[in-house]
Amino acid sequence: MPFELTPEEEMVRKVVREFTEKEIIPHRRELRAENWDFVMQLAKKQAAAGFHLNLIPRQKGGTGLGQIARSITMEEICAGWPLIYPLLGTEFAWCFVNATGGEVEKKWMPGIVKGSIFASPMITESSGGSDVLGFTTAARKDGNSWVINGRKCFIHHAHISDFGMVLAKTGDPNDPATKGVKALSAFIVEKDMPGFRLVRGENTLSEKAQTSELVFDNVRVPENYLVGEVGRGIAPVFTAVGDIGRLGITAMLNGCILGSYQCSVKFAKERVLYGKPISTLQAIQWRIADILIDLETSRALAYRAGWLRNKGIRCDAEQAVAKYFATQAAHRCALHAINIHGAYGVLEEYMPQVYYRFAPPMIGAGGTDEILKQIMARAALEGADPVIGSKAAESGL
Amino acid sequence: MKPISIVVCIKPVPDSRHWEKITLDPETGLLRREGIPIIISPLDRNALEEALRIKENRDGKVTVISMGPPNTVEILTSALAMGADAAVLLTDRTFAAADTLATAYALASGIRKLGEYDLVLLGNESLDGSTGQVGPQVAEFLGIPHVTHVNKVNFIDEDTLQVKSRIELGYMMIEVKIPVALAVEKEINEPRIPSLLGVVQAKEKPMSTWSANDIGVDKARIGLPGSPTQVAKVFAIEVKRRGEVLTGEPVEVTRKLIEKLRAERVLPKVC
Repeated sequence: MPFELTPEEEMVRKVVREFTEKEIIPHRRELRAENWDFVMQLAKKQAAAGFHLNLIPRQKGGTGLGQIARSITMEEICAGWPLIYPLLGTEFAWCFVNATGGEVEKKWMPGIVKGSIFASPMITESSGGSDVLGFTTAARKDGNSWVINGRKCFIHHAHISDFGMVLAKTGDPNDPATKGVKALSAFIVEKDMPGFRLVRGENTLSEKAQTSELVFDNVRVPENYLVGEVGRGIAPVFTAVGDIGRLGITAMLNGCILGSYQCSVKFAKERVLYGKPISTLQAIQWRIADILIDLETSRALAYRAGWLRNKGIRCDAEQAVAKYFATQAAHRCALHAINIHGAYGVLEEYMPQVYYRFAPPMIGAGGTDEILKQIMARAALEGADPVIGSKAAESGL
Repeated sequence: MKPISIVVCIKPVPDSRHWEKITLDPETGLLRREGIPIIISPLDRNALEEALRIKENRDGKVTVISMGPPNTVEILTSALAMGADAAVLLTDRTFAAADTLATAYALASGIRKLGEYDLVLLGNESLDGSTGQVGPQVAEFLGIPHVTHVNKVNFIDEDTLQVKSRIELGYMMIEVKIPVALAVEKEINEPRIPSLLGVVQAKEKPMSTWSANDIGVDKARIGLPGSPTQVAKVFAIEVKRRGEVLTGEPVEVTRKLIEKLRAERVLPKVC
């Protein structure tokens, strides 16, 4: 694969870095205070700058720059301040309407291109996000509608979402006619539909009330809000979780690694102990080198997975490897940064502790380490060729 | 109002965030700039922003022009991503080592080749050379009026501009007819950051590359031969600092300090 970024991808990094220097870094106080009004204002500026358009093709109003440009965009933003920004919700919205088409696409697409529409994948239940056959949320056909009943939890940004894509059982996994994942279908549910409500926000290590528990109480959705076909709900979920979720989270975590690198180098050159900058101490240099190793490796994995997706090659295992590595590396590098900063590293005015708190909540998003390893192992055992990209999950999880 | 044609001159300069990497070649006396990224000289970016705002208020076209080595394409592409409609690069080995006069002559020749124009905008001075000469010189070569230190621009009718220009201890309000050249200052606006849509649109916009022959210049008036001013020597300033502690009662120390500041001409002789 070519190791050179395209001129457009290079320019994306310059543009987003300048945006971050102007619109994010001077306003870290607002972000630290979790000022949601500020975050939404920032979302408008990010939308005006087209940061949500990387995956939308040119003919549909996007930039079509692809997954590597998207990875760079999120990396630079999250180095400035790591956060799941609302623009991820716009990318999910594009993914869902693209899979649904028809009236749904016509209705939401203009707002998605403007960056004013957000959506969430509504998949996970209390039994977990990966045990899809254990889900209890179900949909039954009633005339020209579907009626959905059930509960979902850990749904990120549901409180700002205009709609979501809900995975529900439409058949019995033990019935030969709807065996296994064929029992699952996906539906678009809009926030104002009667019977749909958020029951509580959940607080995590890095943020307050950004994930929610949802109730579906006889929510009636039109027939054309079915995503794809009946019994084929798992495919759009895999696309959303893999392309938008897993690669997006990987890029955000790479932003944490980049941020840890930047603040550590700066601090090490400025901090004087025993009459000289601590950057002259080999112990500090080794920690900086360790961060650089993780930064280079994690970026390379993310860009390769992005490159494969840009080529239209399915790469579940590569996405899993990239997210697995980035999760651990982000945590590791933030800890190096804290060590380099000493006591300053855990002060709230300094960035290392922010990066440190961001990484662990990302473990569950898009698959735990164990689920990711399961994807990798399945790819290996099914004979996927790591040189050209795996096709492991074609058989479905 | 009728559509307006604006030409913006932009200069490639080393990114100030990397100035610590610039060194001086002791043998040639030239600055070593290898590996230093280039950016649009900041005030030229203000000039481009103003051109884009004028175009947004009354239809028209914004063309950016620059003289430099082939990698100047990078900053021209950035300008196209910001919203300029077309770009022209003047590049030729014979343009090298030009002073402000030879640069202005080449730029003016390029602008003349572009055809009709209503406004020529540029930064009041560049980030590196800071002479502030190119704007007025380009205007003289084109035979149009110019205003420097421009802080505000307003069209009062289709062809007349009201321009606020900074002078010592105040401002001048000037009315001027187009075509005119304006050299702008930082205060005029806040340049926009290109959007990612602008980044992809940039490669679809026209970018021309013109040599000295293409713009029909007199070879004796460009590059080193056309430069009446030449840099005799470049050297780094050696900064020698020393500290001095004044001791005694506060009143006495203050008096000593004032005397020293007067001796160094930091304070006037009589307060």
